[in-house]
This record gives sequence, C-alpha cells and structure tokens, in this order.
Amino acid sequence: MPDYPRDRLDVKLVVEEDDPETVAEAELAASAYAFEVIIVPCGEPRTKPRACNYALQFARGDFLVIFDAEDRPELHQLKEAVAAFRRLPEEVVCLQARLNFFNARECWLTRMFALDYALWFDFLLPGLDRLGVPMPLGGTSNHFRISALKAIHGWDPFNVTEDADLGIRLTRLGLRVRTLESTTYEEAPNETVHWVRQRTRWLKGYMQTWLVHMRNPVQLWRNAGAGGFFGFQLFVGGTVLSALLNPLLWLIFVLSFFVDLPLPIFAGATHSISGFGLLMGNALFAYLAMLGPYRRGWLDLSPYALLVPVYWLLISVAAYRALW
Amino acid sequence: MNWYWLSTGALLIGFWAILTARLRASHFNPLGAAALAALALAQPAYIGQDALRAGLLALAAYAVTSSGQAFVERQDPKRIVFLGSSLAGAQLASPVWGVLASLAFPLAVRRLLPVFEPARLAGLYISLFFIPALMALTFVGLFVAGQLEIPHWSVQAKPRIIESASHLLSIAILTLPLLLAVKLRPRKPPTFLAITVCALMAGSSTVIDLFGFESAAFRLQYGAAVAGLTIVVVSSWNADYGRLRFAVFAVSASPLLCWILKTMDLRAAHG
Repeated sequence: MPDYPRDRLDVKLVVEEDDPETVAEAELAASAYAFEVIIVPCGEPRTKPRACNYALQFARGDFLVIFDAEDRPELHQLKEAVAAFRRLPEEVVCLQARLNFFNARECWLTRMFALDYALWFDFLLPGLDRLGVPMPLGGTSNHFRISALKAIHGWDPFNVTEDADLGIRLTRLGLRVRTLESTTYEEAPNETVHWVRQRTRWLKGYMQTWLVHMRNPVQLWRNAGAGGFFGFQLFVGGTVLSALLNPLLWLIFVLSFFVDLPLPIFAGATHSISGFGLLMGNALFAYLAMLGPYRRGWLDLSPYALLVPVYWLLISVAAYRALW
Repeated sequence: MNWYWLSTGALLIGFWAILTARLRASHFNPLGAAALAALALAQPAYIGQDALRAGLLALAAYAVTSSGQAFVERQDPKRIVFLGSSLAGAQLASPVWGVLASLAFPLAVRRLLPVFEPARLAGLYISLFFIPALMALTFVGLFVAGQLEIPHWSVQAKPRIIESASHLLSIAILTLPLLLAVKLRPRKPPTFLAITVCALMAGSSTVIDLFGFESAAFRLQYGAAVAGLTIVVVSSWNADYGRLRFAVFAVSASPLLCWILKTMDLRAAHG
C-alpha cells in the first residue's frame, strides 16, 4: 500500500460488467482493503477512457490518479503528488510520474522497452516540461486535480491513447502538465507479439490524436502557441512519421549501393551526405538510448542500446499495422 | 582578412579564458590566474605556421584531462559525453595520439573509479567509447571513400632509432615542467590524469618519429600542450601560502624550455 493516510484515500477498482472473473477478484480485493468496485456497464466504445469517464463521476476528494492493475508506484508517490500540487500554481492540473518496468531484465525485449521508457520519461519528458512544450501523457500514473478533470469532461472515449490526447487538450485549454520525480513500475510484455499489439494500439492512438487536433491547425496554433504547435508535430506526428519512414529510408540507402536508382536526388555528394546523415542520426539516437538508464543507475542496460535499430524496426512494424 | 590567424587568435583567447577560469575556481586571485594562463600560452608554437594545430592539440589535451577528472568525480551522462567528445576531438587534433588516447585513457582511469559490477562497468565503458569509436569510424569511412589523405606519410625501411633519440630526448625535457609541478605538491587524481595524457602524447609522438613521419614542429606543439596540463596540476594544489610562487615557477618552465628549443632549432637551421 502507498504511504498515505488511509482515511484520505478513496480507491476505486474499475472493471467491465461483462468480465465476471475480474469483477469477482476485484470484489474480493475490495472487501479486504475497503476499496470501492465500480462496475462499468457494457457499451460502446469499449475502451479504457470510457471506463475512466464512467468512474470519474464517483470520484471524491481533490486529487485523482490513474493506475493500471499491475502497477507498482513508489511508496511516497501520492504524498509527493499532493505536495507538488499544493506548491505549483492552479493552472498545473496534471502531474505525470515516471514510468519503467519491474521486469526490465527479463529478456531482450523488456530491456529494450526499459531503455525506451528511460529515455522518454527520465530525459525527454522532463525536458519538455522545462521548455513548457505540451507533453503526451503516459498511460498510467497521471495525477489530476479532480475539479479540472471534471471541468474538461475527462478523457476522449474514442481515442485508444486517451492519455496522449488529454495532455494536448489540457495545453490547448491553457492548463499545464508537469512531471513528477516519482516512478511507477509496470510489467513490460515479454513476448514480441504482445509487444507489437500494444505498440500498434499506441501508434494508432497517436495517429488519431494528431488527426483530431490537426483538423483545425490554425486553432491549434492559437491555443497551444508556436512552441506547443511544433512540439505537438514533433512528438506526436513525428513519432508516427519516423516509424513509418525509417524502414523506407534504410531500404533506399541499402539499394542505392546495388542498384542505379532512378532518382536524381542521389547524384554525387548528395548520396554520401544522405548516407552520413542516416547513419549519424541513428547513432545519435542509439547513444541517447544508451545514456537513458543512467538516471536510474541501470548501466547494465546501456550496451543493449546498440541494438535499438532492430527495436526501431519492430516499432515500424507496429506503425504499419496501426496504419492498416 | 586572414581567417587562419583570426581563428588561431580566437582559439587562444578562448583557451586563455578556460585556463583562467579553472585557476580562479581553485581560488587563485584574478590577476594571478590570468597571468599564469597567459604564461602557459606564451609559446613559440603559437606563432609558427602550425599555430592553429598547436592550439587545437593543447586544447584537446587539456579537454581530455579536464573531462577525465570530471568523469572520475561522477559518472553521469553529461560527464560521459564530455569525456567521449574530448577523446573524439583529440582524434581530430592528432589522429594517432587521439586514437591511442581514446583506447588507453579510459582504461587508465579505471583505477580511479569506484568499484562497479562487471555488467554495469561494461555499460559505463561502452557509453564512454561510443563517441570516440564513431569518430574513428568516420575517419575510416572517409579514408575508404578517398576523401581523406594521411599527410607526410613516409614509411622507412627500418625504424630510425638513432635519429629518433634526439626527438625522444626533446620530448623528455619538455615533460619536465609537468613532472616538476607533480613533484612540488602531493599527488591527486588530476595529476595522474595529466601524466597519463602526457605519456600518451609522448608515446605516440615517439612512435610516429621512429617511422619517419615529419615531426619537427610537433616538439614545440607538445611543449605547448604540456603547459596546459601543468595548469591542470597546479590548479589541484591546496590553496596555501606560497602556492602562487610555485605555480609561476612550474608554469613558466614550459615556455622557457620551448623558447630555448626554438632558438636552438633556428641556429641549427641557419648553420
């Protein structure tokens, strides 16, 4: 249990109505710890954000946090979040805790995933926070001021990455998301097929989020400002675009050595410069992944960063599945 | 506009500022720090036709030593990038010394690091070697693509042992100021690092000269680099009475020896 006064906790286990086994387990757990089970009625779309929106109406108190079932937040996370909310201005309505995995060293895939998360949550997100650029939220350990969350009507039930969408929406409404130093440990999928399915969903959600917010780019610019607009293009649109383009660029580069490509853009020095750019770009990001786990002292994971180009190919597979 | 001298001047001014800042950080007074830094840079190597190269070499040697010290103190990403980049920069300043330093220097500093488990140590060193390895691979790639020539290549049939003896003697003499600085005060990690960098430069220079590469100008460049390393050692001394006097003594030895060597070279050239 987290280190927080029991009488100040209002824990809800949110389960779907048509999953009787989980409902039974939840009710068993709830009875042991005086939690409340919220049974979400069947309906469409059958998504996590819809379930969260349903449960939101029962939330009491001043602050709210979403955890997934297998999450292991650090002991003092709730207290740190409350202290941060009290310290920060009212416009800060959401705190994103850092995420990583308790099974990081289980296999090659979980190690790569841990590197991925370390770079994103330990380096990039705090950087975005410092720059005031809107950040896509992670799927869990988002701490909210309940009043603000209710005022914006919660999450988009149709978006499979409702967290990413919410982060952008909050910024567009003039509200802020900040990072929280505390970590929540999740379970990383240890089989490629499950990992690909999960990443497909995420990238599909990113595509949805980008399309939704770019329906009116002028309005997005006005709401989010120039920094927010370009940050959104880079970290939401760019994530999807780079995953889609990466294998194509590698293919063109490799083919250019064996085949005369009917493309004038690869004449002369352009070929060398392009190749150099591709290799150096990959090397730079591999290096960032190598340094990512240092904040946690997980130096033993750093050598695996040399294999990130292979990991990125997996991401590209997921991106094309998401597009399909 | 002579861009070469403009660049050299900017580099030397920047290097002077860096040395001054380092001395100020170890509590030398402003005038003393500025004077010591200027003394270290009063080198004949900086007024010859290889002045820019001499400046880059000295800066690279200083950067490797300084970043090595920072890395020994704490092994965080910024310091790893700093040291890795310094080693990569050393390859640009002097390919042979740079590659040797990239391989040997991280291994040499191992003795100064805290104890690491093997897996974490491997992670640390792979992170450290990454940037220098990338630089070396870039050189190889450019060489293979025919974009890079190795200058002054003249491989002799046999190593020039006797001819290289005088070169080795010059290098040994020019190292004396650094050893003097080390001897004057107790040893500390910066001292070990400075000596390591110096030894690697001396070693690579000797090997180059042994096989007939042109190295006449290198001795003075080496002397100029030693002056920068002497500043590193001097700035590690405890702040006590008489420190400035000893510092002036140690730092001035290098330019003095270099000017003597320069004068001897000029006399030999004019018969």
